[in-house]
Amino acid sequence: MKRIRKDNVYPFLKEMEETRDVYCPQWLNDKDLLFLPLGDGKFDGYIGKTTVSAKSLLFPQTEEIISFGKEIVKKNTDSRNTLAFGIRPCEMKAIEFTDRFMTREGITDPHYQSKREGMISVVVACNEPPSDTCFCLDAGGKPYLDDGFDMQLFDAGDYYIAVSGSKEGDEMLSSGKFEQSDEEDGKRVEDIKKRSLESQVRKPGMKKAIETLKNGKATNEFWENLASRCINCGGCVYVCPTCTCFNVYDLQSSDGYSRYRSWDACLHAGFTMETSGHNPRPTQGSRLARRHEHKLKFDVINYGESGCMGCGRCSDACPVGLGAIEIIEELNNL
Amino acid sequence: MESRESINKDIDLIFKPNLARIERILPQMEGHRLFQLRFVDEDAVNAFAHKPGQFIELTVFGVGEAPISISSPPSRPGIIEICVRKAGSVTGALFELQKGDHVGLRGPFGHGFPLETLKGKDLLLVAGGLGMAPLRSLFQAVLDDRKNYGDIVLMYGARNPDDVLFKYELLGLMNRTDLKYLLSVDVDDEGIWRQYVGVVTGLFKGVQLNSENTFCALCGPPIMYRFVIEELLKRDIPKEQVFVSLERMMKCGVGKCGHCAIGEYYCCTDGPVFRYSDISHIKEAI
Repeated sequence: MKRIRKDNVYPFLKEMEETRDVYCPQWLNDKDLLFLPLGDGKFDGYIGKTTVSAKSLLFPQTEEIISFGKEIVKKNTDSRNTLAFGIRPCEMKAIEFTDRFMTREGITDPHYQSKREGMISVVVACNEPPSDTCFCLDAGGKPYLDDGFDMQLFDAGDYYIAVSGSKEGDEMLSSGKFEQSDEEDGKRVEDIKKRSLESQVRKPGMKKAIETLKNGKATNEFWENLASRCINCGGCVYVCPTCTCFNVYDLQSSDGYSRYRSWDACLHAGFTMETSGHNPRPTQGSRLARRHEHKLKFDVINYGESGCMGCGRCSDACPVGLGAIEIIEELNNL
Repeated sequence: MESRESINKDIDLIFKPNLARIERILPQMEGHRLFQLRFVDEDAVNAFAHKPGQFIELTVFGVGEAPISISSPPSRPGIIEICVRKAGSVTGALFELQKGDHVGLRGPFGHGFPLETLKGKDLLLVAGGLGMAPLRSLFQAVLDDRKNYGDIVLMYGARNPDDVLFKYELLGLMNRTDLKYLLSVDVDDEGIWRQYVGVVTGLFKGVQLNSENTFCALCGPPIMYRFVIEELLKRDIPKEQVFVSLERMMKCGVGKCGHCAIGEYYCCTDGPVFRYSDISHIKEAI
């Protein structure tokens, strides 16, 4: 355990930037907080809760996966070394969950995996919920992590208390920007953890909702009624830290063409449309059901845990109030 | 600092198509062609081993990629046959290609029909429409190894006499004594059809099935499954003995893109061939 003064965070990140591409939360157009390169120069130390989760570093909105130049096929993977600074515990848990998906049944996604292997993480625990839509406790998580990070920081006012969780974390702690912690810091961390658990009040009741879905109580009518509000924008999916569906398409390039993949959303009508015109999910209700059953039912079957980490981003993003919180509450009214 | 050690060394190829050449194009009924493909690289020819019911991802260079079922059996290696309906952008561009042109292939992907389970059993194979394309891989595999199977009934329902896929190849089966081949068309406006006219379930009349020993393989449009499965259950064939090949919009073929999800499964990796008992609880499956 060490500590780092807050005014030393930026110098530390500049030091890290010599060997890695550093990403941290920064404002884009003063509207959206996103993980952007440190070089963009807008990092002011604010961590907050990013609009789009850190998944964008491992699974970007659009990426080239193959290029074809005169029928020579080339695979493109991004194996840069990166540092993600300011990841929240829910996002890190989501990344660990996504790791399991991206390597499931012995099939590893090379484009995710290359970025994942190159990334080290500095998690900043939440002293209190960064927004009123946070419900990680209700979702089975915690506002801090017990493991799964390279370094975890606890906000102690003028400085962060830093805990290493890996060999990479140990190496970061050896930077001269970190100072020795004092005897009280261990106790301070325990106090921060205790207070963070107490400060989270949002509890939509995910466990009960999971049971409701398991027992088949949510009818088609239930979903169609809710979906009558859905405007099919896909925003909930794009901001979600565990949503990783993508579309694949080819575009012309200077010396041939390239195959890209881009975020896609199960809420779009065309997502399951077959060439014949047949659509196995023909209604907005069936698509809304898919999104939430995926997290709260099918992920529980496949992974023994829900795919919703309780970060609340979908509830922040949804323009018609159909995020996970609202859906869980509706399920619990059944 | 070094990168973490890779947890999987062999992840290079899952999205990378392998070059194949169009060896022959055999016209079928209108808008349908059978393409015979062979990998350019002989190592890839030898490495390719598929099960009936599996599919490949076909790249038409410059246009895109589409999932296509394999119509040839594993017992006839070297050439990969795909029967394609001209329907979308990729298949449309494929129809512009000539013998000798190149395409890209990935795969084979997914679970096919489990030949080991079917061996020694009586088989009922039911195809509807273009569902004959994947099912052909199975029945050719079975006929190439005929002695290892019990009674075989093949039912095929087409829309009308013009829409019978592999028509002449299949008519040749009519003369075989070791196989019962039943053919139906939904409508016959000209009155030229000598076989059954009506929906495919009509073919069940007069067919005896030993429910204990009969395994079924179905492939066709969604509406067909509902009625055929109803017929099978009426005849006491257990759900465990029914295999269905499902169609979904499959993009990546390796269980990542999410388009083909069916409940807790992915059609591309867990299917496209499912045991009916495994999916009968999922409301969107069929």
